[in-house]
Amino acid sequence: MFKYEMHVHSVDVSPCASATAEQLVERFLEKGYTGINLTNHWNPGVFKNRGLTEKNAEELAEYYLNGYRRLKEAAGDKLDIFCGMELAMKGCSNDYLIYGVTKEMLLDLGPYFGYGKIEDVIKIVHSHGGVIFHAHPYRMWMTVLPDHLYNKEDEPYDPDKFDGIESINYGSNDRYSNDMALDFAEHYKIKTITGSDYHNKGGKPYGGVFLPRRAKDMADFVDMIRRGEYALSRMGYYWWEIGDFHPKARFKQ
Amino acid sequence: MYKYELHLSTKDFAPKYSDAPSAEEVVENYLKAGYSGIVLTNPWGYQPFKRSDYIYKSPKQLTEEYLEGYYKLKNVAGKELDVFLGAEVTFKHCTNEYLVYGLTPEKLAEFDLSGIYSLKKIPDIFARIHALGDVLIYQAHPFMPYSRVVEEVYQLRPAVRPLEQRIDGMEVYIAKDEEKANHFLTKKWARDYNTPTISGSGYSSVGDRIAGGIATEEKIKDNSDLVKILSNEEYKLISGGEIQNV
Repeated sequence: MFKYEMHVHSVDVSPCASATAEQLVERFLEKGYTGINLTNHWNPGVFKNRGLTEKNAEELAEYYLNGYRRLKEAAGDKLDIFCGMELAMKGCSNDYLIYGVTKEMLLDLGPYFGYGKIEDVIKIVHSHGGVIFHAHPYRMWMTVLPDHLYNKEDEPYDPDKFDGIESINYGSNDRYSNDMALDFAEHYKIKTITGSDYHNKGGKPYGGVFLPRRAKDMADFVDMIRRGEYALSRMGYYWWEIGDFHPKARFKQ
Repeated sequence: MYKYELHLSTKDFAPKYSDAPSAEEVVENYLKAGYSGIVLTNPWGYQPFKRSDYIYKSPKQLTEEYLEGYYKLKNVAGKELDVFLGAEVTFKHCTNEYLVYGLTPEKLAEFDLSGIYSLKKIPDIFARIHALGDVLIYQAHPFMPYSRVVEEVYQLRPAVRPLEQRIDGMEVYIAKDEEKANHFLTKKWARDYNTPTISGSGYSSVGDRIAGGIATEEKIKDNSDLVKILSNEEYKLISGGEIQNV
Protein backbone atom coordinates (compact mmCIF):
# COMPACT_ATOMS: atom_id res chain seq x y z
CA MET A 1 0.00 0.00 0.00
CA PHE A 2 1.19 3.48 -0.81
CA LYS A 3 0.39 6.29 1.62
CA TYR A 4 -0.19 9.88 0.50
CA GLU A 5 -0.77 12.84 2.78
CA MET A 6 -3.71 15.06 1.82
CA HIS A 7 -3.30 18.17 3.99
CA VAL A 8 0.09 19.82 4.52
CA HIS A 9 1.32 23.41 4.76
CA SER A 10 4.81 24.83 4.35
CA VAL A 11 6.41 28.04 5.55
CA ASP A 12 7.11 29.17 1.99
CA VAL A 13 3.47 30.15 1.40
CA SER A 14 1.23 29.54 4.43
CA PRO A 15 1.77 32.29 7.03
CA CYS A 16 0.50 29.97 9.78
CA ALA A 17 3.07 27.24 9.02
CA SER A 18 6.68 26.94 10.13
CA ALA A 19 7.58 23.59 8.55
CA THR A 20 10.28 23.92 5.91
CA ALA A 21 10.44 21.79 2.79
CA GLU A 22 13.34 19.80 4.28
CA GLN A 23 11.51 19.16 7.53
CA LEU A 24 8.44 17.96 5.65
CA VAL A 25 10.44 15.53 3.55
CA GLU A 26 12.26 14.12 6.56
CA ARG A 27 9.13 13.76 8.69
CA PHE A 28 6.90 12.16 6.08
CA LEU A 29 9.60 9.75 4.92
CA GLU A 30 10.11 8.75 8.55
CA LYS A 31 6.38 8.00 8.81
CA GLY A 32 6.37 5.80 5.71
CA TYR A 33 4.60 8.11 3.25
CA THR A 34 5.06 7.68 -0.49
CA GLY A 35 3.91 11.19 -1.33
CA ILE A 36 2.51 14.49 -0.17
CA ASN A 37 -0.14 16.82 -1.55
CA LEU A 38 1.08 20.28 -0.58
CA THR A 39 -2.08 22.22 0.29
CA ASN A 40 -0.88 25.67 1.20
CA HIS A 41 -3.47 28.35 1.87
CA TRP A 42 -4.91 30.28 -1.04
CA ASN A 43 -6.91 33.11 0.46
CA PRO A 44 -6.80 36.89 0.65
CA GLY A 45 -4.89 36.82 3.95
CA VAL A 46 -1.93 34.92 2.48
CA PHE A 47 -1.31 37.36 -0.31
CA LYS A 48 -2.05 40.51 1.63
CA ASN A 49 0.51 39.43 4.25
CA ARG A 50 3.12 39.11 1.58
CA GLY A 51 2.29 42.47 0.00
CA LEU A 52 1.10 40.95 -3.26
CA THR A 53 -1.69 42.53 -5.22
CA GLU A 54 -4.85 40.49 -5.47
CA LYS A 55 -5.46 41.56 -9.00
CA ASN A 56 -2.42 40.09 -10.75
CA ALA A 57 -3.23 36.40 -11.21
CA GLU A 58 0.17 35.60 -12.77
CA GLU A 59 2.04 36.93 -9.72
CA LEU A 60 -0.19 35.04 -7.34
CA ALA A 61 0.20 31.79 -9.29
CA GLU A 62 4.00 32.06 -9.45
CA TYR A 63 4.24 32.90 -5.75
CA TYR A 64 2.07 29.94 -4.88
CA LEU A 65 3.88 27.48 -7.14
CA ASN A 66 7.26 28.39 -5.70
CA GLY A 67 6.30 26.67 -2.46
CA TYR A 68 5.46 23.53 -4.40
CA ARG A 69 8.68 23.73 -6.41
CA ARG A 70 10.75 24.10 -3.23
CA LEU A 71 9.20 20.99 -1.75
CA LYS A 72 9.61 19.02 -4.96
CA GLU A 73 13.27 19.94 -5.10
CA ALA A 74 13.82 18.99 -1.46
CA ALA A 75 12.05 15.66 -1.98
CA GLY A 76 13.93 14.69 -5.13
CA ASP A 77 12.92 11.15 -6.02
CA LYS A 78 12.32 10.14 -2.39
CA LEU A 79 8.70 11.40 -2.20
CA ASP A 80 6.00 12.13 -4.78
CA ILE A 81 5.04 15.77 -4.44
CA PHE A 82 1.73 16.97 -5.89
CA CYS A 83 0.35 20.47 -5.91
CA GLY A 84 -2.84 20.99 -3.95
CA MET A 85 -4.42 23.93 -2.20
CA GLU A 86 -6.54 24.91 0.78
CA LEU A 87 -8.78 27.64 -0.59
CA ALA A 88 -10.92 30.08 1.34
CA MET A 89 -12.89 33.07 0.15
CA LYS A 90 -13.74 36.40 1.70
CA GLY A 91 -16.87 36.48 3.82
CA CYS A 92 -16.77 32.81 4.82
CA SER A 93 -14.51 30.84 7.15
CA ASN A 94 -14.88 27.62 5.17
CA ASP A 95 -11.82 25.95 3.66
CA TYR A 96 -11.75 23.69 0.65
CA LEU A 97 -9.01 21.21 -0.24
CA ILE A 98 -8.21 21.05 -3.94
CA TYR A 99 -6.02 18.42 -5.58
CA GLY A 100 -4.50 18.43 -9.05
CA VAL A 101 -3.64 22.13 -8.96
CA THR A 102 -1.96 23.46 -12.10
CA LYS A 103 -0.84 26.93 -13.10
CA GLU A 104 -3.79 27.19 -15.50
CA MET A 105 -6.18 26.43 -12.64
CA LEU A 106 -4.51 29.07 -10.47
CA LEU A 107 -4.86 31.67 -13.20
CA ASP A 108 -8.57 30.91 -13.48
CA LEU A 109 -9.03 30.95 -9.69
CA GLY A 110 -7.20 34.27 -9.30
CA PRO A 111 -10.27 36.48 -9.40
CA TYR A 112 -12.08 34.41 -6.75
CA PHE A 113 -11.09 36.39 -3.69
CA GLY A 114 -14.33 38.24 -3.55
CA TYR A 115 -17.63 37.12 -2.13
CA GLY A 116 -17.85 34.58 -4.92
CA LYS A 117 -19.86 31.41 -4.93
CA ILE A 118 -18.20 28.14 -4.10
CA GLU A 119 -20.26 26.60 -6.89
CA ASP A 120 -18.20 28.60 -9.41
CA VAL A 121 -14.93 27.45 -7.80
CA ILE A 122 -16.06 23.81 -8.02
CA LYS A 123 -16.69 24.22 -11.76
CA ILE A 124 -13.26 25.74 -12.33
CA VAL A 125 -11.49 22.98 -10.38
CA HIS A 126 -13.28 20.22 -12.25
CA SER A 127 -12.79 21.88 -15.62
CA HIS A 128 -9.04 21.63 -15.00
CA GLY A 129 -9.21 17.97 -14.02
CA GLY A 130 -8.91 18.57 -10.28
CA VAL A 131 -11.02 17.40 -7.35
CA ILE A 132 -12.32 19.41 -4.40
CA PHE A 133 -13.20 18.36 -0.86
CA HIS A 134 -14.74 20.44 1.92
CA ALA A 135 -12.10 20.66 4.67
CA HIS A 136 -13.08 20.06 8.33
CA PRO A 137 -16.72 21.01 7.67
CA TYR A 138 -17.81 21.04 11.33
CA ARG A 139 -14.94 22.91 12.89
CA MET A 140 -15.68 26.07 14.89
CA TRP A 141 -17.02 28.95 12.73
CA MET A 142 -17.47 26.78 9.66
CA THR A 143 -20.68 27.29 7.70
CA VAL A 144 -22.82 24.18 7.27
CA LEU A 145 -23.52 23.59 3.58
CA PRO A 146 -26.61 21.86 2.14
CA ASP A 147 -26.12 18.20 1.34
CA HIS A 148 -27.13 18.70 -2.30
CA LEU A 149 -23.74 20.38 -2.93
CA TYR A 150 -21.91 17.08 -2.43
CA ASN A 151 -21.59 14.13 -4.75
CA LYS A 152 -23.09 11.03 -3.19
CA GLU A 153 -22.00 7.42 -3.61
CA ASP A 154 -25.39 6.22 -4.79
CA GLU A 155 -25.94 8.99 -7.36
CA PRO A 156 -24.34 9.70 -10.76
CA TYR A 157 -21.24 11.88 -10.52
CA ASP A 158 -22.02 15.58 -10.92
CA PRO A 159 -19.09 17.87 -11.81
CA ASP A 160 -20.94 20.83 -10.26
CA LYS A 161 -20.67 19.31 -6.79
CA PHE A 162 -17.96 18.65 -4.23
CA ASP A 163 -16.13 15.36 -4.52
CA GLY A 164 -16.45 14.84 -0.78
CA ILE A 165 -15.39 16.06 2.64
CA GLU A 166 -12.39 15.79 4.93
CA SER A 167 -13.94 13.66 7.63
CA ILE A 168 -10.96 13.54 9.99
CA ASN A 169 -8.58 16.44 10.39
CA TYR A 170 -5.78 15.66 12.83
CA GLY A 171 -5.12 19.35 13.38
CA SER A 172 -8.53 19.92 14.98
CA ASN A 173 -8.25 20.26 18.75
CA ASP A 174 -11.89 19.90 19.70
CA ARG A 175 -13.99 16.94 20.83
CA TYR A 176 -16.66 16.97 18.21
CA SER A 177 -15.83 18.22 14.69
CA ASN A 178 -14.38 14.98 13.30
CA ASP A 179 -17.25 12.94 14.75
CA MET A 180 -19.83 15.23 13.18
CA ALA A 181 -18.08 15.14 9.80
CA LEU A 182 -17.89 11.33 9.85
CA ASP A 183 -21.59 11.07 10.67
CA PHE A 184 -22.53 13.62 8.01
CA ALA A 185 -20.58 11.64 5.40
CA GLU A 186 -22.05 8.34 6.50
CA HIS A 187 -25.62 9.65 6.52
CA TYR A 188 -25.46 11.13 3.03
CA LYS A 189 -23.02 8.56 1.57
CA ILE A 190 -20.40 11.19 0.76
CA LYS A 191 -16.82 10.24 -0.07
CA THR A 192 -14.24 11.26 2.53
CA ILE A 193 -10.52 11.79 2.99
CA THR A 194 -8.46 12.40 6.11
CA GLY A 195 -5.66 14.88 6.58
CA SER A 196 -2.95 15.74 9.05
CA ASP A 197 -3.30 19.50 8.57
CA TYR A 198 0.44 19.52 9.17
CA HIS A 199 1.86 23.00 9.80
CA ASN A 200 4.81 22.67 12.13
CA LYS A 201 7.61 20.35 13.07
CA GLY A 202 5.64 18.92 15.99
CA GLY A 203 2.53 18.18 13.93
CA LYS A 204 0.81 14.80 13.72
CA PRO A 205 1.40 13.03 10.39
CA TYR A 206 -1.57 10.68 10.74
CA GLY A 207 -3.82 11.49 7.81
CA GLY A 208 -4.12 10.85 4.10
CA VAL A 209 -5.00 7.97 1.83
CA PHE A 210 -3.63 4.54 0.93
CA LEU A 211 -3.49 3.71 -2.77
CA PRO A 212 -3.22 0.15 -4.10
CA ARG A 213 -0.32 1.19 -6.35
CA ARG A 214 2.03 4.11 -6.63
CA ALA A 215 0.51 7.03 -8.59
CA LYS A 216 2.21 7.53 -11.96
CA ASP A 217 1.81 11.29 -11.70
CA MET A 218 -0.53 13.93 -10.26
CA ALA A 219 -3.26 13.37 -12.86
CA ASP A 220 -3.22 9.64 -12.13
CA PHE A 221 -3.42 10.35 -8.39
CA VAL A 222 -6.39 12.66 -8.85
CA ASP A 223 -8.17 10.09 -11.04
CA MET A 224 -7.78 7.44 -8.35
CA ILE A 225 -9.20 9.83 -5.74
CA ARG A 226 -12.10 10.75 -7.99
CA ARG A 227 -12.92 7.09 -8.57
CA GLY A 228 -12.65 6.28 -4.85
CA GLU A 229 -9.77 3.84 -5.38
CA TYR A 230 -8.24 4.39 -1.97
CA ALA A 231 -8.56 3.63 1.71
CA LEU A 232 -8.23 6.17 4.47
CA SER A 233 -5.30 6.66 6.75
CA ARG A 234 -6.42 6.85 10.35
CA MET A 235 -3.70 7.53 12.86
CA GLY A 236 -1.35 6.55 10.05
CA TYR A 237 -2.95 3.15 9.56
CA TYR A 238 -5.08 1.66 6.81
CA TRP A 239 -8.72 2.04 7.77
CA TRP A 240 -11.03 0.12 5.50
CA GLU A 241 -11.20 -1.80 2.25
CA ILE A 242 -10.70 0.17 -0.92
CA GLY A 243 -13.98 0.80 -2.66
CA ASP A 244 -15.88 -0.02 0.51
CA PHE A 245 -17.88 2.67 2.23
CA HIS A 246 -17.99 1.82 5.95
CA PRO A 247 -16.61 4.73 7.95
CA LYS A 248 -16.75 2.81 11.19
CA ALA A 249 -15.55 -0.55 9.92
CA ARG A 250 -12.99 -2.66 11.71
CA PHE A 251 -9.53 -1.31 12.26
CA LYS A 252 -6.99 -2.90 9.99
CA GLN A 253 -3.27 -2.54 9.84
CA MET B 1 -51.11 16.33 28.35
CA TYR B 2 -50.87 20.01 27.46
CA LYS B 3 -49.11 20.98 24.24
CA TYR B 4 -47.05 24.16 23.85
CA GLU B 5 -45.41 25.61 20.76
CA LEU B 6 -41.91 27.00 21.31
CA HIS B 7 -41.04 28.45 17.88
CA LEU B 8 -43.36 30.62 15.88
CA SER B 9 -43.52 34.06 14.24
CA THR B 10 -46.33 36.33 13.16
CA LYS B 11 -46.33 38.96 10.47
CA ASP B 12 -46.54 41.79 12.96
CA PHE B 13 -42.79 41.79 13.49
CA ALA B 14 -41.37 39.19 11.15
CA PRO B 15 -40.19 41.18 8.16
CA LYS B 16 -38.00 38.37 6.81
CA TYR B 17 -41.11 36.30 6.17
CA SER B 18 -43.28 37.92 3.53
CA ASP B 19 -46.04 35.33 4.03
CA ALA B 20 -45.97 35.13 7.84
CA PRO B 21 -49.32 34.37 9.45
CA SER B 22 -51.56 36.87 11.17
CA ALA B 23 -52.37 36.61 14.86
CA GLU B 24 -55.87 35.39 13.96
CA GLU B 25 -54.52 32.59 11.75
CA VAL B 26 -52.06 31.49 14.44
CA VAL B 27 -54.71 31.30 17.16
CA GLU B 28 -57.19 29.46 14.94
CA ASN B 29 -54.64 26.90 13.74
CA TYR B 30 -53.09 26.19 17.11
CA LEU B 31 -56.46 25.73 18.76
CA LYS B 32 -57.40 23.34 15.96
CA ALA B 33 -54.17 21.42 16.56
CA GLY B 34 -55.04 21.05 20.24
CA TYR B 35 -52.34 23.29 21.73
CA SER B 36 -52.80 24.93 25.13
CA GLY B 37 -50.28 27.69 24.57
CA ILE B 38 -47.65 29.24 22.36
CA VAL B 39 -44.43 31.18 22.83
CA LEU B 40 -44.14 34.01 20.32
CA THR B 41 -40.57 34.06 19.03
CA ASN B 42 -40.54 36.85 16.48
CA PRO B 43 -37.09 37.64 15.06
CA TRP B 44 -35.08 40.09 17.15
CA GLY B 45 -31.70 41.34 16.11
CA TYR B 46 -30.06 41.67 12.72
CA GLN B 47 -32.92 40.40 10.58
CA PRO B 48 -35.55 42.96 11.57
CA PHE B 49 -33.44 45.77 12.99
CA LYS B 50 -31.14 46.25 10.05
CA ARG B 51 -33.94 46.97 7.61
CA SER B 52 -33.63 50.40 6.09
CA ASP B 53 -36.80 51.66 7.73
CA TYR B 54 -35.76 50.37 11.13
CA ILE B 55 -32.17 51.49 11.51
CA TYR B 56 -33.10 55.02 12.45
CA LYS B 57 -35.47 53.98 15.18
CA SER B 58 -34.37 54.18 18.79
CA PRO B 59 -34.07 51.01 20.90
CA LYS B 60 -37.21 52.13 22.78
CA GLN B 61 -39.17 52.45 19.52
CA LEU B 62 -37.93 49.07 18.32
CA THR B 63 -38.98 47.42 21.58
CA GLU B 64 -42.40 49.07 21.45
CA GLU B 65 -43.01 47.89 17.90
CA TYR B 66 -41.78 44.43 18.82
CA LEU B 67 -44.21 44.21 21.71
CA GLU B 68 -47.16 45.32 19.57
CA GLY B 69 -47.10 41.92 17.90
CA TYR B 70 -47.13 40.17 21.27
CA TYR B 71 -50.00 42.29 22.65
CA LYS B 72 -52.02 41.76 19.48
CA LEU B 73 -51.55 37.98 19.62
CA LYS B 74 -52.46 37.93 23.31
CA ASN B 75 -55.55 39.98 22.63
CA VAL B 76 -56.72 37.69 19.83
CA ALA B 77 -55.99 34.55 21.87
CA GLY B 78 -57.95 35.80 24.87
CA LYS B 79 -58.43 33.04 27.41
CA GLU B 80 -58.48 30.24 24.83
CA LEU B 81 -54.72 30.01 24.22
CA ASP B 82 -51.91 31.02 26.57
CA VAL B 83 -49.40 33.33 24.92
CA PHE B 84 -45.88 33.79 26.29
CA LEU B 85 -43.29 36.25 25.09
CA GLY B 86 -40.06 34.95 23.61
CA ALA B 87 -37.68 36.00 20.87
CA GLU B 88 -35.56 34.58 18.10
CA VAL B 89 -32.19 36.37 18.11
CA THR B 90 -30.78 36.54 14.60
CA PHE B 91 -27.38 37.46 13.13
CA LYS B 92 -25.74 38.73 9.99
CA HIS B 93 -24.81 36.49 7.04
CA CYS B 94 -25.86 33.17 8.57
CA THR B 95 -28.98 31.28 9.54
CA ASN B 96 -27.97 31.03 13.21
CA GLU B 97 -30.96 31.74 15.43
CA TYR B 98 -31.28 31.54 19.19
CA LEU B 99 -34.63 31.16 20.91
CA VAL B 100 -35.10 33.06 24.15
CA TYR B 101 -37.75 32.12 26.71
CA GLY B 102 -38.91 33.86 29.88
CA LEU B 103 -39.04 37.36 28.43
CA THR B 104 -41.47 40.00 29.63
CA PRO B 105 -42.16 43.48 28.28
CA GLU B 106 -40.36 44.91 31.32
CA LYS B 107 -37.22 42.86 30.68
CA LEU B 108 -37.21 43.79 27.00
CA ALA B 109 -37.52 47.46 27.87
CA GLU B 110 -34.28 47.14 29.91
CA PHE B 111 -32.30 45.43 27.18
CA ASP B 112 -29.67 47.41 25.27
CA LEU B 113 -30.03 46.42 21.64
CA SER B 114 -26.69 47.82 20.50
CA GLY B 115 -24.15 45.41 19.03
CA ILE B 116 -26.27 42.28 19.12
CA TYR B 117 -25.73 41.50 15.45
CA SER B 118 -22.24 40.03 15.52
CA LEU B 119 -21.97 36.27 15.91
CA LYS B 120 -18.43 36.64 17.28
CA LYS B 121 -19.80 38.51 20.29
CA ILE B 122 -22.24 35.77 21.12
CA PRO B 123 -20.92 34.84 24.60
CA ASP B 124 -21.26 38.47 25.72
CA ILE B 125 -24.68 38.78 24.11
CA PHE B 126 -25.78 35.65 25.98
CA ALA B 127 -24.47 37.08 29.24
CA ARG B 128 -26.49 40.25 28.71
CA ILE B 129 -29.63 38.28 27.91
CA HIS B 130 -29.17 36.00 30.93
CA ALA B 131 -28.62 39.10 33.09
CA LEU B 132 -32.30 39.97 32.50
CA GLY B 133 -33.00 37.16 34.97
CA ASP B 134 -34.97 33.93 34.67
CA VAL B 135 -34.48 33.52 30.92
CA LEU B 136 -33.24 30.60 28.86
CA ILE B 137 -31.48 30.50 25.47
CA TYR B 138 -31.65 27.60 23.02
CA GLN B 139 -30.09 27.35 19.61
CA ALA B 140 -32.70 26.82 16.90
CA HIS B 141 -31.91 24.17 14.24
CA PRO B 142 -28.12 24.29 14.84
CA PHE B 143 -27.18 22.36 11.69
CA MET B 144 -29.56 23.90 9.21
CA PRO B 145 -27.62 24.78 6.00
CA TYR B 146 -25.81 28.10 6.23
CA SER B 147 -25.64 27.99 10.03
CA ARG B 148 -22.19 28.54 11.48
CA VAL B 149 -20.78 26.16 14.05
CA VAL B 150 -20.42 28.11 17.30
CA GLU B 151 -19.31 25.49 19.76
CA GLU B 152 -17.79 27.72 22.40
CA VAL B 153 -21.16 28.40 23.97
CA TYR B 154 -21.68 24.67 24.47
CA GLN B 155 -18.73 24.38 26.82
CA LEU B 156 -17.06 21.48 25.12
CA ARG B 157 -13.53 22.46 26.04
CA PRO B 158 -11.78 22.27 29.40
CA ALA B 159 -11.40 26.07 29.57
CA VAL B 160 -14.99 26.85 30.43
CA ARG B 161 -17.01 29.91 29.84
CA PRO B 162 -19.02 31.31 32.74
CA LEU B 163 -22.54 29.89 32.97
CA GLU B 164 -24.20 33.10 31.83
CA GLN B 165 -22.26 33.03 28.54
CA ARG B 166 -23.39 29.54 27.72
CA ILE B 167 -26.36 28.17 25.90
CA ASP B 168 -29.11 26.36 27.79
CA GLY B 169 -29.87 23.82 25.08
CA MET B 170 -30.70 23.20 21.45
CA GLU B 171 -33.75 22.68 19.29
CA VAL B 172 -33.40 19.06 18.28
CA TYR B 173 -36.46 19.06 16.00
CA ILE B 174 -37.96 21.73 13.76
CA ALA B 175 -40.91 20.92 11.53
CA LYS B 176 -40.23 23.72 9.01
CA ASP B 177 -37.66 22.58 6.38
CA GLU B 178 -37.38 19.38 8.38
CA GLU B 179 -35.67 17.51 5.54
CA LYS B 180 -32.82 20.05 5.41
CA ALA B 181 -32.24 20.48 9.13
CA ASN B 182 -29.79 17.56 9.65
CA HIS B 183 -31.69 16.40 12.71
CA PHE B 184 -29.51 13.29 12.95
CA LEU B 185 -26.53 15.54 13.73
CA THR B 186 -28.44 17.60 16.28
CA LYS B 187 -29.61 14.47 18.08
CA LYS B 188 -26.07 13.08 18.09
CA TRP B 189 -24.65 16.29 19.50
CA ALA B 190 -27.35 16.50 22.18
CA ARG B 191 -26.77 12.87 23.16
CA ASP B 192 -22.97 12.88 23.08
CA TYR B 193 -22.58 16.20 24.88
CA ASN B 194 -25.57 15.93 27.20
CA THR B 195 -27.28 19.05 25.88
CA PRO B 196 -30.90 19.74 26.92
CA THR B 197 -33.27 19.69 23.96
CA ILE B 198 -36.51 21.28 22.86
CA SER B 199 -38.62 21.08 19.74
CA GLY B 200 -40.52 23.62 17.65
CA SER B 201 -42.60 23.93 14.54
CA GLY B 202 -40.81 27.02 13.22
CA TYR B 203 -44.28 28.19 12.18
CA SER B 204 -43.62 31.35 10.22
CA SER B 205 -45.50 31.04 6.93
CA VAL B 206 -49.15 30.42 6.16
CA GLY B 207 -49.54 26.69 5.58
CA ASP B 208 -46.55 25.58 7.69
CA ARG B 209 -47.00 22.38 9.65
CA ILE B 210 -47.75 22.55 13.34
CA ALA B 211 -45.73 19.52 14.42
CA GLY B 212 -43.28 20.58 17.13
CA GLY B 213 -43.13 21.88 20.66
CA ILE B 214 -43.37 20.27 24.07
CA ALA B 215 -46.03 18.41 26.02
CA THR B 216 -46.42 18.78 29.80
CA GLU B 217 -48.39 16.94 32.46
CA GLU B 218 -49.61 20.16 34.03
CA LYS B 219 -50.75 23.40 32.45
CA ILE B 220 -48.02 26.04 32.37
CA LYS B 221 -49.13 28.84 34.65
CA ASP B 222 -46.88 31.71 33.57
CA ASN B 223 -43.46 32.65 32.24
CA SER B 224 -41.61 31.65 35.40
CA ASP B 225 -43.36 28.30 35.31
CA LEU B 226 -42.34 27.87 31.66
CA VAL B 227 -38.71 28.58 32.51
CA LYS B 228 -38.82 26.18 35.47
CA ILE B 229 -40.32 23.39 33.35
CA LEU B 230 -37.76 23.92 30.59
CA SER B 231 -34.86 24.09 33.06
CA ASN B 232 -35.90 20.88 34.78
CA GLU B 233 -36.78 19.21 31.45
CA GLU B 234 -40.22 18.34 32.81
CA TYR B 235 -41.74 17.77 29.40
CA LYS B 236 -41.85 15.46 26.43
CA LEU B 237 -40.85 16.56 22.97
CA ILE B 238 -43.34 16.74 20.12
CA SER B 239 -41.79 15.56 16.88
CA GLY B 240 -43.62 15.15 13.59
CA GLY B 241 -46.82 16.00 15.42
CA GLU B 242 -46.43 13.09 17.86
CA ILE B 243 -45.56 13.27 21.55
CA GLN B 244 -42.33 11.33 22.00
CA ASN B 245 -42.07 9.01 24.94
CA VAL B 246 -38.28 9.06 25.18
